[in-house]
Amino acid sequence: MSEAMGLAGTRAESAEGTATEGVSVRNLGVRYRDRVLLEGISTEFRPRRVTAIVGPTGCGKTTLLRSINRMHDQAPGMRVTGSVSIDGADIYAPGVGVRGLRRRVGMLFQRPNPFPQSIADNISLAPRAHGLVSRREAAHLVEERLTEVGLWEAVRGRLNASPFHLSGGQQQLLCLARALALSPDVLLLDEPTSSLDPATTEHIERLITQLSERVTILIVTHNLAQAARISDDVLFLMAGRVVEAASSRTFFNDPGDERSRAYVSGRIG
Amino acid sequence: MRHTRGAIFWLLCAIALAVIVFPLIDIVVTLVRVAAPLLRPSLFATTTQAGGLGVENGILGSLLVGAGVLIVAGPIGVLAGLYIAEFASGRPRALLRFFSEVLSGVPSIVVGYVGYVVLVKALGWGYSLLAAVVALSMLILPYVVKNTEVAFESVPRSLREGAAALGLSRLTTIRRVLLPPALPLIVSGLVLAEAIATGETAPLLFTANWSDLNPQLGLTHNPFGYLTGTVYYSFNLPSKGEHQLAFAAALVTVVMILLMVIAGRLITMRARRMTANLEV
Amino acid sequence: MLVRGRARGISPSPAPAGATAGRESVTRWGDRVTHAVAAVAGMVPLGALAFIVIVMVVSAIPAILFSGTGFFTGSVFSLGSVYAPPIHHHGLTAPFGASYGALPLILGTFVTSLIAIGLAVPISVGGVLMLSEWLPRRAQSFLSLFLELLAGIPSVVFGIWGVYTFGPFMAAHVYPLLTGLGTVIPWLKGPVGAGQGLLTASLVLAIMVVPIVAATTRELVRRVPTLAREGALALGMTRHETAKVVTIPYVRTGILAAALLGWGRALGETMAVLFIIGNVLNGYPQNLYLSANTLSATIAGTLDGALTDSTGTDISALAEIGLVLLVISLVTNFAGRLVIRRVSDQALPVGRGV
Repeated sequence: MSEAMGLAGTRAESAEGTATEGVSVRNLGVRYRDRVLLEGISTEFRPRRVTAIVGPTGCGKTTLLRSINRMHDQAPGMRVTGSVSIDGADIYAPGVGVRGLRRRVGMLFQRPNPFPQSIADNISLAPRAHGLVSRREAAHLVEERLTEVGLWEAVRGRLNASPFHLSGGQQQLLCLARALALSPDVLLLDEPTSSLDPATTEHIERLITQLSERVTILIVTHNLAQAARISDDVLFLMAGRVVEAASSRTFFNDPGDERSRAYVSGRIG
Repeated sequence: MRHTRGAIFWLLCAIALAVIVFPLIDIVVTLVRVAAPLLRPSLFATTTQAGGLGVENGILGSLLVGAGVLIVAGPIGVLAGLYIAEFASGRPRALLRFFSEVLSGVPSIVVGYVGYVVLVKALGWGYSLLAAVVALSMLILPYVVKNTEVAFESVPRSLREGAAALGLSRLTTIRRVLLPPALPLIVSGLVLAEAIATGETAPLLFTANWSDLNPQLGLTHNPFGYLTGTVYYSFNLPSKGEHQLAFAAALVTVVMILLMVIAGRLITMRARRMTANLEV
Repeated sequence: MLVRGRARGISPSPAPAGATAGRESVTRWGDRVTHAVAAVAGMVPLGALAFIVIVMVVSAIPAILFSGTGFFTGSVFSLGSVYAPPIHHHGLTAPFGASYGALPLILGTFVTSLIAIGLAVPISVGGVLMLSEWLPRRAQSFLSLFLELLAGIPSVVFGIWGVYTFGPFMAAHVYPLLTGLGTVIPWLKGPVGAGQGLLTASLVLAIMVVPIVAATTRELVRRVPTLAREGALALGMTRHETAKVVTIPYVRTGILAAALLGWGRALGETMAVLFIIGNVLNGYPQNLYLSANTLSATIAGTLDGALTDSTGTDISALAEIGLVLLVISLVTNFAGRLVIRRVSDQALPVGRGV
């Protein structure tokens, strides 16, 4: 019985090997009641690259990011039009399970939000809930992911302790490890370092670069220097529309749009 | 002129504050003073049977009915609060919340009457623990619902988003992410509801009636005693000892309730500190 | 170095996809069951309310038919005698001499509860202002604990305190002074009695509803923007003027709501009143110091007697009293919550999200 349901679930969710890899956005629009938050967004996010989404406050950066794991689903009054495809499969198509989608698309928020569970459970909770690992494998997974984000040495002696005694930076690393525990194909980062100290910020930036060897990364940031340091591509939004999508080098050295030039040079934004 | 007016205004305010503070102190002092001759351990080991001056049957009855109310109104109230906070939305949610609040406005004597007519008579349970528990549960349900609702709603939104972003199911989100921080407030709500139940009299008069014996086994057809009943019935009796017993029972009731209120508050304070921790 | 197995590319799921989807269907089932069970529980409060209203209406029908409008105009409430043959009236039987005129009870309920709330509101507002303007923060949280404790004192305890300590004290020391006002307010003329009566009941009720009104007022005062108050102080206003010009207007609507809720509580309060008011079933007291009765105290005080009536009309008459009480309580409660909803929508941040 679970076999049949499994087939139904996987067909819609992963649609293997048909179209292009990466995240593809087609004519995406998002409205909240009568307000237009995003309109006519069409762009490609290349697989296993870091794309920085930049633009002035309120331009729709976070709204775009949250469209890619369907976080708008719960908010009454939010309407999404157009399509978003991951590895060629439309994530807004009927029959797509939002939970399965979010297993493949991880997210990190502006402020760390560890769960009120032990440090180890924070990491193993989601893989266990999705049935990805057994209880025994979970312990191994916890060590693996904590090591990956460089937190293992700091917390190995207190895996059963509350995460709230960790520093803000350590909490954010824990949340990153939590997202990585589901082995996501895409990682959405919403200003992940805006509340952190410079040392942790640098550490996370290094991790992002390393992760991009296997994960497609979209990062919203206010910090242009950060975007320049870590991104391969840049998507520049203003007032809910795409102004320019370019490689990082082009965007920062020779932008194609006058507004991009103004933004890069600090005259707007 | 201006300052005289101010002084008079603040003097009146100070009197008002005194009027708020004074009665509670005087009530406790009166209870202790009148009950003093009876305040010894045997008070708790004596029933009111054959003119006995003790609260044993009262305390046992109150504890029993308190436990019963916790069993009946606890799960229903917590689930109802969970539903209003986490599942319902829009108009149904507003209506359910509104009517649950309005239920708290039903006078307790009316609940007692309904309990008598329906539970004791129509359903034929007689004066009994079951009738008392059901009637009191109706009375405290709104408090449990409200506190549960507030408990879930005070969980920071960032935790919900974190859970959603990991694709956790609703049940897992509630159990593992929302419940731990909400639990202390839910528990303190239950404790406060229990305090209210302990102090009620009117609904019990018509559902539990009264017994001088310790509570017997059996859910139906078993009238039983309870602390507020000891106060009510003994106060109306002519002898001096009975009169003192009314005050002693009142003192025991008040102490129990005050302990519950303080416990509830301590739990709430700890919970607040914990929730403050959740938002880094 | 940090990334283990980076050469793997996108990590494959450690478990086959079929298992994930199987788990998905299990969790979906768990979600549905939780939702359904919680929904049923969510309906219980509404169901209980409807149930109470229906039971009261149905139980009251015989008495409504028996007395008609006499219930609201008659001034004698008597259960009659079961030792004489029952009487027949409007096709219904009732004990000999039964008369269900509830006007004195209705008036008694309104008078006691209105005096109570009329005193509780200024006392609460005055006390809270005193506290928030003059006393340190610590004292404020102490008062809120104090109010919770006061709210926790059982009604029956207020009752014996009122009869034993408070009533006699007032009759001996305070009421004689009040009789001096008798020339202005005729109902305050003597005799002052022994302390059990309408006024003592009203005063104890006032103390009992203070926690409701004061706790709400404290919340409201705490929400007054500091900026507005400092603005007034910066203009050289005294604290008294600031309270009058800024604080009180800001909290006025909220206090109205709290007053309505407190009034509802005072209307339905039973045990304390039953002890203190003196229980007269017929007629009206000649002044505020003497015995009277209320709707709720009558139900509690006469149910035992009504149970002996085999015609069932006595018990139905009590249901009619309960129904009137229920309607008044629900209306005030309704009104209070509607008002407070309006206020808190202004005061609370909107858009609280998911």
